[in-house]
Order: sequence, then structure tokens, then C-alpha cells
Amino acid sequence: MRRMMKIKEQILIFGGLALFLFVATYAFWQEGEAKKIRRQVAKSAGEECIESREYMRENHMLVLDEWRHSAVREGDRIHVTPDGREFEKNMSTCLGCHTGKQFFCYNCHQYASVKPNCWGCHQAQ
Amino acid sequence: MKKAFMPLIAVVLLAVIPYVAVQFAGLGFLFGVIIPYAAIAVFIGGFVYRVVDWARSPVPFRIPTTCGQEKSLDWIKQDKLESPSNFRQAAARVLTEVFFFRSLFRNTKAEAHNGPKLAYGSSKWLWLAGLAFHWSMLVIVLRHYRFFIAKVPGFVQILEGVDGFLDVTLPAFYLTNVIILAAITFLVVRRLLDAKMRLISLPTDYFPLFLILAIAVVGIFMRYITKVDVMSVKDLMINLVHFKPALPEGIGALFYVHLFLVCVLAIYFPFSKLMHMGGIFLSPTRNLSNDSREKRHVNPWNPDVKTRTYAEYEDEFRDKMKKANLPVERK
Ligand code: HEC
Ligand code: HEC
Ligand code: HEC
Repeated sequence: MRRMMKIKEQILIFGGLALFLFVATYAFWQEGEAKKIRRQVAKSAGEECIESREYMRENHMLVLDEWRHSAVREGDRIHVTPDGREFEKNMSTCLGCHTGKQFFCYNCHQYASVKPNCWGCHQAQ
Repeated sequence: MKKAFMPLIAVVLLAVIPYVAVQFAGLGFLFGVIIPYAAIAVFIGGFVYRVVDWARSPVPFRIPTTCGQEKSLDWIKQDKLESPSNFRQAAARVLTEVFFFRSLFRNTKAEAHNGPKLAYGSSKWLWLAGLAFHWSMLVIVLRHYRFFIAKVPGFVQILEGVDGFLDVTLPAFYLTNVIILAAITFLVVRRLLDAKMRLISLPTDYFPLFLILAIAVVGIFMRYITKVDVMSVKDLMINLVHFKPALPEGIGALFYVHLFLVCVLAIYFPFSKLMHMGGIFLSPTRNLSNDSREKRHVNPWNPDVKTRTYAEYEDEFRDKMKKANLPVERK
């Protein structure tokens, strides 16, 4: 009887421990490659981006946020880049250079698991 | 106060080390690859060691700390959660404790009023902050799986959706970020404001709080303000979990601060009070059923004492006892 109890306890404890190990090492069992998107994307656009590439990688959502605010709230719809080029503050401006959201925005976002809801209203053209 | 300041200084130093090392000494590989591997090894190895150690410790007696009516006569109502009498009820007791912190819900506060008057009142703040902190922590840890798994699993995306449901700010605002900051702040302030709490708080109570606070603050900074190249960070992590370590360029030093503090937490974890994560399931005062009046629990290492029952005694001396007119149980 006591031995039975002991075995039942051990099953519980080591079952729990196995569950912990599974959760803690879950990522190690998953398939998948690092994307190194850095190298692939640049070729899809013509001129320089509106800011340096490093800056855009980290801050493009802040740029869009600023555009949205200044365009809609303050009526300032023209963005002037540091080197003097002018762009309309518009989602299509980005996509004009960056071919299609699937291959540009989506590619990164799927990897980083971000789902901006912009495309629910703005057209992906 | 020294008890609170030393851990604070320790955490600040720990945060400065990787910043300097990566920014000025180019030790990215050490802090991005070697230390994380060491940390996860120590965390898992240490955790398993502690649990196995507990599992091997004998628990000869029933020692649950109950606070309700134990199972008795049929017409006396048993408090099944507070004084469980079988495995199922004990399991329910442990699980409700784990998920809802029922014991903290009972927390009371003693106040001395004018004159010799002592009043006890219920105090739910600790319970609320504890619950808020732990649940946020869980959600945040699970959300971080998005950096470790190339094809982000559905449950992570659901969590992100729920956590970011307010749908404000870019990058998306997560509720748990604010909740965890508020909760930790409360947990620190609670120890500092009350004289009794200050007295019983040790550096080991403050250190994990400050450490987790620092991790959260740096993380929030990285996400919303200074920004970091998330794509490269994910590349680094995916490479790590597939044992093909390679350090992408251009990750800001702040990220290494975040990562290093997490590594410190992971290494510190198994050897500190944080092991209550495993310990809560294994504490005999909580997980045993209160059935020592129903079943006999014999200490397994009791020495084999030779005993003699009264019946045996009487068998031997019955005749003599009868002759001496002593009462006997069997004729
Ligand atoms: C005039 C064309 C042009 C416009 C308009 C433009 N970009 Fe770019 N963008 C580029 C080019 C070219 C690069 C690659 C830069 C390089 O290789 O140095 C780039 C790079 C990027 C990157 C970094 C990609 C990577 O893999 O490193 C992001 C993110 C980005 N752009 C987002 C945007 C967003 C968001 C907008 C709209 C607000 C926008 N871009 C508008 C041309 C443009
Ligand atoms: C609920 C629908 C909706 C969603 C979701 C939405 N927008 Fe908009 N957006 C609008 C409307 C409407 C305007 C106003 C258009 C105008 O005033 O000309 C606008 C304007 C803008 C503008 C100003 C330039 C322009 O196109 O007129 C920017 C930039 C912008 N949005 C960016 C974004 C970004 C980035 C997201 C995703 C985070 C987003 N929007 C999500 C509806 C939406
Ligand atoms: C180089 C990869 C990359 C490219 C290309 C890219 N993004 Fe992003 N984007 C990211 C990452 C990574 C994040 C999330 C950052 C984080 O989690 O803190 C993000 C976040 C965002 C967000 C904020 C969403 C949120 O919920 O936090 C918006 C909006 C956004 N990107 C818009 C765009 C648009 C529009 C494009 C295409 C013109 C684009 N991005 C192209 C990598 C990229």
C-alpha cells in the first residue's frame, strides 16, 4: 500500500517536472530558419529610403505614426527627407517604392509576429 | 535601508556591465551567445536538481496547515478546500492556490488604535498585486516565444491580440507591460513603507523585485523608445535555439542589457526564493490531505521495536492473575 502511494507520488512529481522541461525547452524542438531578411529586401526598391536603412528597420512604425498624426491632425501632408526629397505622407508612398505589401511589409511582420491593422482600411497598392 | 540599497546597486551594476562590455569592448559574442547558453543550462539543471531533491525528501507524516473543518461525522459540514480529506480535494487546494493565491486572499492587517486597541482588517492589496504581477509575468514570458520560434505558434498570437486589444500606439501597447510595472512598484513600496515589513525584508526579497523591474523597464524602453532591430534579435535567438550560434550585427547595446539581466534571473532562480515556482507544488503543508484520523501513516524509518500487546500479556499471566483475584478481560 505504501509503495503504491510512493509510486503515485513519483509519477505526479516527475510528470510535473517533464511538463516544466517541455515548456522551458519548447523553442528548442521547433523547426525553422533564421530569416536574414536584411539581405533579401533591399533590391525591391529604386532610390534611397526616406531615412537610413538602419533607422527605418527600427523606427518605421514611428515614422508612420508621425505621418498619420501630422497629416490627419495638422494637415501637413508633405514629408521632406534630410536630403531634400519630398514625399506625400501616405501609405501608398511606401508601397510605391516597396513592391507590394506581401513581399515587403508582410515578410518581416510574419517573422516578427506583428499584425498592424492598417490594411483593414488602407489599400495595399 | 542598506538591505534595500545593496540589491538596487547590484542590479544597476549588473545592467552596466553588458552595456560597457558590448558598446566599448565588443564582447557581443560573450553576452549574446555564451552567457545565454550557460544561463539556460544552469536554470534547467538547477531547477531539476531542486525538484528531485525535494522529491527524494521523505514526508513521513501528514502536516497540512489547514484552516477549515476537517472531515468528521456526516452531519458536520467539511470544508473541502481548506481541509482536504483525499487526493482530489488536496489537488484542488494546490491548484486554486497556484492560480488564484487563495492564501493571500486571507491576508489581514493589524492596526494599533489609540488606547490598548488592536484591530484586524482584511487587506487584499497584496493578493491583488501578487496576482496581477504573476499573471502578467506569465503572459509576458509566453509572448516572448515569438522571438524563439520561427513560425510563431497560434497561442502566442492569441495572447498578443488579447494583451494588445486596446489597439493604441505604435508599436502596439500591451496591457501587461503597465500592469507588471504597477504591481512590482507596489510590491517594493509595500516592503519599504511599513516598519514591520522593513524589519523582516531581506536583501534577497528586494533583489528579485529590482531585477525583474529592471528587465521590464529596459524591455519597455527598447520596444517603445530607443528601439532595437527586432529582426536581428530574432535571428540571434533562432540561431541560438538551433545551436548554430551566430551574432547578427547592429543590435543595440540596450538589448544586451535586457538579455543579460534575464540570464542573471535564470541563473539566480534555482538557488533562491524564486524556486517557489516549483516548491508550491511540493510543499507538504499544502499538498497533503488531512486524513490522519482516517488512515494510519507509519513513519517508514521507525525502528523495528519489539512490542507486546496487553492481550499477549494476559495470555501469559491469566492463571496467576485469576489466583490473585485480579480482573482479566478474557476468562
Ligand atoms: C523612394 C523610395 C522609398 C520610399 C518612398 C520608401 N522606401 Fe523604404 N526603402 C527604400 C530602399 C531603397 C531601401 C533599402 C535601403 C538600403 O538598402 O540602404 C528601403 C528600406 C526600408 C526598410 C528596411 C528594410 C530592410 O530590410 O532593411 C524599411 C523597414 C522601409 N524601407 C520601410 C519604409 C516605409 C514604412 C516607408 C513609408 C513610410 C518607406 N520605406 C518608403 C526605398 C523607399
Ligand atoms: C479604421 C480604419 C483605419 C485604420 C485601421 C488605419 N487607418 Fe490610417 N487612415 C484612416 C483614415 C480614414 C485616414 C484619413 C484619410 C484622410 O484624411 O485623407 C487615415 C490616414 C492615415 C495617414 C495619413 C495619410 C493618408 O493616407 O491620408 C497615414 C500615414 C495613416 N493613416 C497610417 C496608418 C497606419 C500606419 C495604420 C496602421 C497602424 C493605419 N493608418 C490604420 C483609416 C484607418
Ligand atoms: C525589416 C523588416 C520590416 C519591414 C520591411 C517592415 N516592417 Fe514593420 N515592423 C517590423 C518589426 C520587426 C516590427 C515590430 C517591432 C516590435 O515588435 O517592436 C514592425 C512593426 C510595424 C508596425 C507596428 C505594429 C505593431 O503592432 O506594433 C507597423 C504599423 C509597421 N511595422 C508598418 C510597416 C509597413 C507599412 C511596412 C511596409 C511598408 C513595414 N512595416 C515593413 C519589421 C519590418
